[in-house]
Amino acid sequence: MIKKYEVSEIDCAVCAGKIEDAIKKIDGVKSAMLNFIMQTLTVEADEAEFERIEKEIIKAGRKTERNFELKKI
Amino acid sequence: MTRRQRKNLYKILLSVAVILVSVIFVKNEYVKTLLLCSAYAVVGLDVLCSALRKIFSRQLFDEEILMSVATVGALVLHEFSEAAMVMTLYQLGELFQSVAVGKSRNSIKELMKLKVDFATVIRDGKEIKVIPEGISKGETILVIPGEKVALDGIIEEGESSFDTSSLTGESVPRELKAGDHVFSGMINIQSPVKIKTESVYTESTVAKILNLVETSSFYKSQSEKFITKFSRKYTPCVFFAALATAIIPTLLFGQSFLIWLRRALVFLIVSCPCALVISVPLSFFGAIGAASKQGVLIKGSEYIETLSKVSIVAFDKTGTVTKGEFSVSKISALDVNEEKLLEITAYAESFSNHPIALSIIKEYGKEIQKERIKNVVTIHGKGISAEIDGKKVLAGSRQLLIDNEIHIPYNDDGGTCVYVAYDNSAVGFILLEDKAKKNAAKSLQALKQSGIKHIVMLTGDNENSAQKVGKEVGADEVYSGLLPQDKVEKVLQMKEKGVTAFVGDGINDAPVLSCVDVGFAMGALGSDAAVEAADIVIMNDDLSAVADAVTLSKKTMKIVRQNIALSLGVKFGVMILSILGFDNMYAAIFADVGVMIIAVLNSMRMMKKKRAASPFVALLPSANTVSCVLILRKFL
Repeated sequence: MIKKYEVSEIDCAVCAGKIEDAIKKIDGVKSAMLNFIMQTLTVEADEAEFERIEKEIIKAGRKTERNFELKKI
Repeated sequence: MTRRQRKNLYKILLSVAVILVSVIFVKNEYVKTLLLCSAYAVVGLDVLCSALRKIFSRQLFDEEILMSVATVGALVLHEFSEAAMVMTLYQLGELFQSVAVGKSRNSIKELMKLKVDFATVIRDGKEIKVIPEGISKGETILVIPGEKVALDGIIEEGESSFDTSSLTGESVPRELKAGDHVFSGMINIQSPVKIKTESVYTESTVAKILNLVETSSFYKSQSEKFITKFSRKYTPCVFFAALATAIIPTLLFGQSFLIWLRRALVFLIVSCPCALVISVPLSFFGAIGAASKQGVLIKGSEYIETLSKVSIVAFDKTGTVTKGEFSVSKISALDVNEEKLLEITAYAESFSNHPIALSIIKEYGKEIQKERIKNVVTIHGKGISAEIDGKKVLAGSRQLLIDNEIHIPYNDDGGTCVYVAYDNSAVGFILLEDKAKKNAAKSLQALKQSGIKHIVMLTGDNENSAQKVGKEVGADEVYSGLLPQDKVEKVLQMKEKGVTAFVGDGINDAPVLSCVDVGFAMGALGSDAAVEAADIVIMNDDLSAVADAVTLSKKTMKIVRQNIALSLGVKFGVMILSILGFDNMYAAIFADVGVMIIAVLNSMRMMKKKRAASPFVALLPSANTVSCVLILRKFL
């Protein structure tokens, strides 16, 4: 299943790359794509796992970008 | 500007004011130091905190950490004004970057403003406003004038004109009536219509287009891949280079540690590859956004890069170069008058729905009295035989007449010819042509001007008509009588000579589109197969979009190359100069922030409308070089 999110407060492109890499490494994430310019995140994973994965995405994001936020679209 | 951005701006302004006051007016060293340190704290505290957090979470090669090390190093060296200034300018650069990207994002979103927030659905006779996602297939939606169609469907009731420009870039509205297909993203401009939906939102045209653009970063170009790889290595490399600069001369040659430490700090200031990492994808994305505004969807930056290298463009003939519909171009009668010839042919063809038959009937234009026709027989691949007013009529290929022992002179004008015999003698022929699109010749010429060396036309049609169209539009080479697999073979041969693009309708050409370097599908509005098969999708039927896309790709690549050369040139320049002893920290931060600003502005040019270039935009490339030279001269 693929879910799309709006991410906010990623100001630097290098950080976006780092966050994308970190999200890809989360257990259960099959693929992830962070479009820095549109500030959208597309994640593919099993539906049952999304709740946990979302939490981990926020954690991974905040590690690099303090104000990282995730919003469903 | 967001609130956070505004807050940062105030901080920067405050700190600049404090720095200026303390440097110019304050004579007392202690007060000066105090003021400069507080200015540094105002802009730098956030960065320092964040850097500390990152050190604890072991993300060592981060620009914030390096910037903190550089400025703290400057403080240790008692270079207070430099530390404060470097931090201020660094923050200014970050602010600019965030504002610029935000602005680009908005203008791209504006370009792509296809989705509607609400649609009016009719349920149990009541009009209810719901979000497009909440409407299912087969429901009826009401679209009033001025509204955007939310979902793809068929008009149930009413007729109106629709503005399709946001989908196709075409400015002429389309007239649609009951039974016609409507696509989401079109704007109703005349009268209310009821539409029966044919898809749910996620499968609608708009959702597909938006999805395509949003996921376009998946097909990354070589340049982007290079930048990503480079940026990962660059920061650590610079860090170690700085370390080496600080230690080696002191240890090996016994030189002053403080002098070399200063030089090393300059390295750290230019350690962020931001200018590249931001401006390169921004250029590509800007190009994709600008193209989509014109009704051209590019599936990824990969294709922009490849397209800029294309030297051979092959076109499919029918429906791409030509209109794809036949029209009568010549009626040549023997023994009878032309009107009579057209009449009997139209009568003979009146039971057929072959495109050729339809265009002859259309040309005849009068009502057909079916009781006059008897014994209609279709002779497969050859034509039709029928009895009209009791007399036998044959209409079809020359072979059909010869088979019936009727001789007729051969027509070699090209085009598709229907030979007619009436009452066992030849009465003439009707010539049909699939005419080239109006702007085909001009578009192909524009393509040549944009740097394409070789234009080829491929068709399954006969030699005569292919050559005629080819000559008319100015193709360099024409291959006719090709089966789909022959087209693939031809394209593969071309690929050996140069990077090849193919332009087709995307439905019959799927195999060719998949084997070529860049595949264009034309007239793709509403055709999923075309969107699927092609790399670049042209929503309307306008051939000139191909040349526009080529020009756009070249412009994009030029900007990308400018940005790469500029950023790397300035950064390496600063490093070399600092080793040589021009270890001015102001200069370094000016160069770093300046180059980032120039690169971002440069890539934002992609979002400007085509051809409507303002003088400012035209000046930018030269401004690049000039400001670069100025920065280097003034401060180094």
